[in-house]
Parts: sequence; structure tokens; C-alpha cells
Amino acid sequence: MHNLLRKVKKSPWVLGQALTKKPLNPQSTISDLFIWRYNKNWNTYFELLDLASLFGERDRHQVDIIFFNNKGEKFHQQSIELRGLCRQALDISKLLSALKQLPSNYGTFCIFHKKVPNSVLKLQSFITERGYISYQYKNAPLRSYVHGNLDAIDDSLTPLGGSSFFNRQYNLQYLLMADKKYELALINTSSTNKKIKFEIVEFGNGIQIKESITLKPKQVFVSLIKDLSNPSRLIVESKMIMARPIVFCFSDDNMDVFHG
Amino acid sequence: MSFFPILKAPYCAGQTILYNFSPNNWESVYKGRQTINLSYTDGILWHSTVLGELAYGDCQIIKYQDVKSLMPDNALPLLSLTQNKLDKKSEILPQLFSNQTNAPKHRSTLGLTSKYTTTSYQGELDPFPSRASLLTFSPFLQFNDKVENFVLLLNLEKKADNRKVKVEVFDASTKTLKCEKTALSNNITAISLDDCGFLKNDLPVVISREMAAIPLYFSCANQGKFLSLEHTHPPASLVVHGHRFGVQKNLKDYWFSQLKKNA
Repeated sequence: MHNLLRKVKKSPWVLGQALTKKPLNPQSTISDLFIWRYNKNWNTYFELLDLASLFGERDRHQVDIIFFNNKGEKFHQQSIELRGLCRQALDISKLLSALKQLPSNYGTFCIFHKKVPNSVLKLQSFITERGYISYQYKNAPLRSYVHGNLDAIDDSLTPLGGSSFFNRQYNLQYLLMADKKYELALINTSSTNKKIKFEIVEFGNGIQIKESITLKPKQVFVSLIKDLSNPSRLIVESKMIMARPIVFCFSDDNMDVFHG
Repeated sequence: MSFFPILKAPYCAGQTILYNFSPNNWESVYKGRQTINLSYTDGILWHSTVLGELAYGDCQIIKYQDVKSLMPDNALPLLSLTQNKLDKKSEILPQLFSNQTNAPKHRSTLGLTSKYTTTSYQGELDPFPSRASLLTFSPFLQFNDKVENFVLLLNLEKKADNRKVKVEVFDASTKTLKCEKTALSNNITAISLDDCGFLKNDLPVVISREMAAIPLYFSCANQGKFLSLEHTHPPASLVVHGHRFGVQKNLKDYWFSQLKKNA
């Protein structure tokens, strides 16, 4: 009875509100929208794996990589040959530096595998690139890794993130320290504009920072958090099903990145 | 339902931050004070002790140093936030009555701190079935001067024993066995990947046929001056929708049979 009541109370938040929509084409491939950063302090790398080869598919395979600026507008696309079951660290900064002019110094990109393994098709699943991105900050000897987290977009460039009927909160379970600096990045993976409220709240209730923005589909927003007077936490309110941010944490010249 | 371990790695001490608030505002949770517990196994029984209480809306940092004297050396400290009291001793991992959410899951901050810096990820640990296996492809090795690379295998099972299991590390392309190590159940085992002879373009595959684990890849430069930590996805996360666990089974069957020939 208790479980039934819980289900009934939860239904307005879940019915018809999938986290990830299914692509219309059963042979589509899917990708997260990864954040690229490139300027004198930042280099970005992506660990390209040949997913079809992992499933035992022989032959040579390719991916398409598509770049968007910080407003979610596409500005570059290219195909890349995969090297089978070898490691292939893609230097995103090098790819971008070959372009005549960059529209911004951060944005997003997605990677679509062109080969769908037969065993995946048979089980009515979709190959998705949620792989591993790394950032080098101020030429540090070590890069900081974070894995992809969302099945954000399909290869027709249709965003797959679901939308909520009601505003919902994502309460980041993370302690923002007063002596550190942070950049919180959020991407709209849905197909409609989303109004997003950020609140940095002290443990003890006082609101330190309040910000409101509207993100277009595929648009990324990076918010700088510094000079906090007390330990705090982040609340994101929006009609996104899961407004999970990527957090860049800075302490002197050290940078650590992770997802919410 | 989940435990929150305190991690351990070379040059670092672990610290875990617990949160007594929900990660969202739409899944029903208990909004009251909860008990902070420490659980560990001595290899025979599970032991649990109360560390304190955490008010709703608050958080608590717990360092390895805070619990070191309460348990045997080298045991894995497992923290939990519960509404129930845990048995002081039990043969089976204590059952937790605690807040549980799905989108996202209730998490803590699992961190490693060196003399110089900190790295962390948002995580939790649920018990694995004892008859499970591990398959992870690792593109995380970093090759700069004075950089060391490890895989930290984090395991939790219901039975209290510390099973010693074989971990095999292969090169994905040649399927050559590069090195063989051991890991313990109900513990975190640090395995150096630097002495396996991998080159920059090699893709390591780490498997255990006898135990599942969360594979955390940890790199450090200059004895802890810089740190990097991330885990790989379970194989089911290579796909979405459809029969994801069927896909995972196919992938594991394929790789375990391919690698068997060379083990």
C-alpha cells in the first residue's frame, strides 16, 4: 500500500517524461554533448574507442565529430578513421587550432560512430558515445578525466533529453568550499529552450548567488563561482529531467573535473 | 541503500563527504536526522559502529584518520546514513534503511587528498553478487615523466570474507596477457599499471572472472602534486534503450572467450 502511494505521488514526475528519448531511426547512433575548452590555459582531449571493434566487428570504422559553439550552433564537422582496438587520444585543441577562426573558447562536441554492431541492432539498443574526455589546465603534467554522462543527441542532431511538465530541482550533493574557485557547466540537451535558475546556498540557508538564464538546445553555460563566504551547495531548477552539471574545481594551478 | 566508502590510493588519504539532503525535490525521502555508521569486515564478520548523527540539510566530512583507530589496518571503511540501527556484528552485510532516489542516485563525494591537492568523484557503493565478473577497457594511462598509473578495484559483497581473486591485464589489440595481479573482495585494491609494459597507443583491458568491482583509474604526478581520478562505465553503458544487459552479456562473453585463449 505504501509503495503504491509512493508510485501514485511520483507519477506526475515520471509519466511521459523519459530521461532520454528514443531516436526515430532504429539505426541511429547517439552521443553525449561533451564540453571542449581551448585557450592559453586549456587543452581538451578525447579518448576515442572503436566501439564496433569492441563488439567483435572487423573492418575499418569511422566516426563523425561535430563541434558547436557556446550558443549551440554547429561550426565544424569532420570524419575520423578509427584504429581498431588501439588507444586513440584525440587532441581536440589541435583539431580546433587548424580552423581559421574559433567562434568561442568553449563549446560542445559530439561523436557519432558510423558502424552499429549487429548484436546491438538485434537487441534494439543504440550505440552511444559516453566516453572519456580529459582537460589539461595551465600545461599541468597530468590531465583530469571525466566520463560522458548523458545520451544527449542523435546523429540527425536531434537533442534527446526529455522535458519535465513541472520545474524540478537538481540538488548537487557536493560541498562548495569557501577557499576554492569553481566553474559549473550545464548543457541543454532538450529540443526546446530551457529557463534555468542557479542558486548557491550556504549550509545554514542563506543564498549567496542567484542567477537565471535561458539556454537554447545544445547551448552550454559556464558559471564562475568564487569568493564564497561560507561552505555552500548548488541547486539547479529547470524543466530539464536531470540538470546534472560538470564541475571544474580550482585550487591554485590544480584543476579537478567531475560530473554531478 | 548504498554505502559510501573511504578510498585509499598511493600518496593519498581518503575522505568522504556525506549529505543528508535529497539530490532532487520530487522523489519522496525521509527529512530528518540520520545516523552516521561505520561498517567494515575483519574477514569473518561485519562490524558496525555509530559515528554520530547528521541533521537534515547538513553535510559531514569524514577522513580516513577519523576512523583509522576504530577498525583493523587495511580494512575498507564503509560509511552509511541510516534511519535504523545496524547490528554491531553480523555475518551478512547490514541492511540499510536510508534515503534512496533514482534520478539522480543519492551520492557522496569520494575524495583522495595528497599533501598538495585533492581529486574526487560523486559516488556510492552497492554490494555486487559474489558470482559476477569485471570487464573494463582503460584509456586512462598517462605517460609523462614522474607520472604513475593505477587501477583501484573497489568491491563490496554481502558475505564478510576477503576473497583473493585473480586480475588479468591484457592488451586489447593483440590479446596478449601483459600482467597478472590479485585483488581482495570487500576492499579497495591498488594495482600499478606501469609495470605491465603498455605503450602510448595500447588499450589495456582489465578483467576478473571471479569478482565484479568498480574500476577507478588513478594517476598521480610528482608524488601527489597532481592527481587524476575517474571510473569507467560498465559495458551496458555503451548502449542505451533496448536490452542493455543483453548487450553487456554479449560483450563480456565475447571478451572472456577471446582472452581465455591467451590466459
